[in-house]
Amino acid sequence: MEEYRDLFLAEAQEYLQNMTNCLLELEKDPSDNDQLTEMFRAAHSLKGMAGTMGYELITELTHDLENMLDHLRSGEITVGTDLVNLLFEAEDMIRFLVDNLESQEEYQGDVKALQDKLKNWEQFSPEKAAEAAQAGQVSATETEAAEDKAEPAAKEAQPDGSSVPKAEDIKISDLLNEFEKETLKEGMFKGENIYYIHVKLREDSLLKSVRAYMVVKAVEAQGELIKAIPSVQDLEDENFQDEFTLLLMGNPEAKELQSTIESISEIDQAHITLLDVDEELELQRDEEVEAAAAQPEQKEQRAPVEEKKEQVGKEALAAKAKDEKGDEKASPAAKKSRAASSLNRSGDKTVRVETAKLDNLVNLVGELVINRTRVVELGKKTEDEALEVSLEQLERISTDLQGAVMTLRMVPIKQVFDRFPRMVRDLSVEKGKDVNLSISGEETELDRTIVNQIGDPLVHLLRNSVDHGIENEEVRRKNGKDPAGKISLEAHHEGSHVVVSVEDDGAGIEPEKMKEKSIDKGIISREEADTLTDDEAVKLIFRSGFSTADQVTDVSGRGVGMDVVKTSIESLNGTVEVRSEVGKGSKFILRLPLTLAIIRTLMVGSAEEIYAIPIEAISENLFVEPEELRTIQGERVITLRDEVLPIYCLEESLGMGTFQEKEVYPVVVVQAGEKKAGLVVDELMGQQEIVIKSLSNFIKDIVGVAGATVLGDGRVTLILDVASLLEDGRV
Amino acid sequence: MLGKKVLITDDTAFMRMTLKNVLEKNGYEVAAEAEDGVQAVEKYEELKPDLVTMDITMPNMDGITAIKKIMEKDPQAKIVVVSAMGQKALVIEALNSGAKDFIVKPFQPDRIVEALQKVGG
Repeated sequence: MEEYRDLFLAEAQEYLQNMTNCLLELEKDPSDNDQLTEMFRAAHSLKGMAGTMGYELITELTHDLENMLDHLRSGEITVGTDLVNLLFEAEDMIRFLVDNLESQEEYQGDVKALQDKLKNWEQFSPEKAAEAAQAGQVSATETEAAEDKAEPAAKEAQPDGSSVPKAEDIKISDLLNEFEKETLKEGMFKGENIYYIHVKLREDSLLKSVRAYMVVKAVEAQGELIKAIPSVQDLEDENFQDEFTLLLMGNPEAKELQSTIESISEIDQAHITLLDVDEELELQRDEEVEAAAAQPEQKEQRAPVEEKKEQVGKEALAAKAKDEKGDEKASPAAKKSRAASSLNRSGDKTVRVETAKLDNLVNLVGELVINRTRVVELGKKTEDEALEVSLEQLERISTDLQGAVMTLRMVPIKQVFDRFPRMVRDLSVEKGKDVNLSISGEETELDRTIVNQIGDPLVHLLRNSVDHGIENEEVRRKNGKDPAGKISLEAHHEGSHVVVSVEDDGAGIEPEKMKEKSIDKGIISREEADTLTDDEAVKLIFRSGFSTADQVTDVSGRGVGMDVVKTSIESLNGTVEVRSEVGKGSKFILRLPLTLAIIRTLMVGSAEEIYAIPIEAISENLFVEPEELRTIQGERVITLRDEVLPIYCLEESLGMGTFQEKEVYPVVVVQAGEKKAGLVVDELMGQQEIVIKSLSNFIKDIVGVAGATVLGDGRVTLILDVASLLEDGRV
Repeated sequence: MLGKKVLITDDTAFMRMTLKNVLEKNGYEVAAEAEDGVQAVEKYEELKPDLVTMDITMPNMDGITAIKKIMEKDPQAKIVVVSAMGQKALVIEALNSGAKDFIVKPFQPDRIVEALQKVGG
């Protein structure tokens, strides 16, 4: 079967893309039966393929989707925004399941919730217009939730129609996802208690996040924290008011728990409730089984007819799944084993670790690598062969270790990319343009801090492409282009970098227009403009104060220009490039380092010290003869390829000494943003990869110093922060 | 009952004085004042106070290192961090190093008293 998998994946993507296209068309022209037929066919083919491959969730979901489309075709229901949103949601989910074939079972809850919605197709019938409007709101909010698909597991399962009365006021099943529920069930078998802890901090307390941290830490010492609302991350980031809720599983006395929390100062109230989860989760389960077996009860009088039809229509696969669930219900032992196996299964694949612990590990490995280099150097001096062999072994292992640890911090860029298809679709609908976004390379991994920070720049680039890049449909037709614009978002590895590009087949950037704008805005003078090549003119887009939008729209042109994109990418040690061809489109290329913990640097000697300059900041190295050096208004300069380049002496800039006459001056040409300068050093010592150590707080904000590193021989070396040196005007 | 003995650690004389006034008014006995982490560790060993207030940013030895050293010698030590605003990461580190609670400068007198009472009983 495995050999067919690639084929399945490729074809599934194709069908999904077809579905997206059809949906977009359908939304524009609800009467377009061809699109509906096409979409139906795509769903049907997908169902067949998934069934053959044994992907039950996809099979069931596409089955329900197909049914929905069938009702649509027969005219029982009509296309509306809510319906399109729901169809998009279903399509997103199928796409997600296809992308996550290995772990699809984990998302059973999400799929179930969606299936219930699809089965409830009647709400879209014209007669039920009033109710549909109401339901539409629900569907819209849930669409938003689906957008944030980076972590569907964390998304709270919201089974529709859970009208089962609950004994408790606190409906924990609404708060938990499937995995958390399983964990709770597992705990219950072991006889653990579940506490619902509500904490209110004093309104005027400061550093609330740390307070919350203390509470979390204190209760974690007494049991297992199942859930925090808001999430622990939000608590850490202080994204909460004064109150938060924790679910704890364990066996401390409620009193004990209460006094633990109250022993922390600035707590206004701590409220602890022992939950009878058992009953509630049982109810929940029964309901799930019922839902799987038939239509939800709320279907009222029409239910019996519907149920029959549904039963007949159900695939054998679904029936099988049903039986399994029925068995579990009958035998608690089977249930327990399932809970356990599901725990094991998830446990095998992932372990949740605090990022602080990871950072610490990375740091320690960094130290280890530095010390290894030292030991290896010492070992070479002894000329002991056995020692050398084992040192080589040590070197290899620690290099592997370093690589392995680095990958721990790596996450697929998918986390960011996933929110874009919907965003682009919504934007293009809003702008009345037809835009297809294609994404590739989303499995490319890079450091999580970088992934977290490239979202906004990418949003900006994509918005720009939709708003300014892609032309109106008439214009495109007139120019003989496909009326549907194309934007591709792509990521791939390139050495120690990840390249992310956003390309559109729109109007491109007109160099002349850029020049005019820049002159209008006073960014450059007319004389300067005349000397610019087309490429240079296009690059003006990155200058601050520049915005090409003729009008301010709510899509882009909000005063946040491309210069912000450039700055934020550069702050990650990355670069941005733009390529554009008038009438054909533009491409923005971001080049990002894989990690921020290790950088490539050029080591230079200056005044008996060694400094490390990040390679990204260096444009070239030169050797300058004394006679090339001129003085203009008291500043040293050289002429480099017809440009005047200011020259500074690194020693002097850092306050370590004064300019010394030499026979030849080694010069490192550095660049940050648009500023460029040459630094005179004593010696160029070659490139080296170094582990960045941040400086302690006392000396954190020194101009010109980004951090430090320890060299193989144990010497501490400062890493220069070229941007701040240039900014400061000292260089 | 005699007031609990407190060791005040802060590099600014002003803050030490303020703390001392508040504590003495509330029935605590200020056993000693330390100007940096090194002194704090020395005086802790010498005087075995019931409670310690600890600044974080100090010359010679910072508060976090001092907390670690004190906790190493006396795991029962009761230390309350008195930090400046915006030192979230450092406060968390201090708590992880063994500090029992924290307050943020500029503080209200009752807050430090509350924190000390909760920590020291």
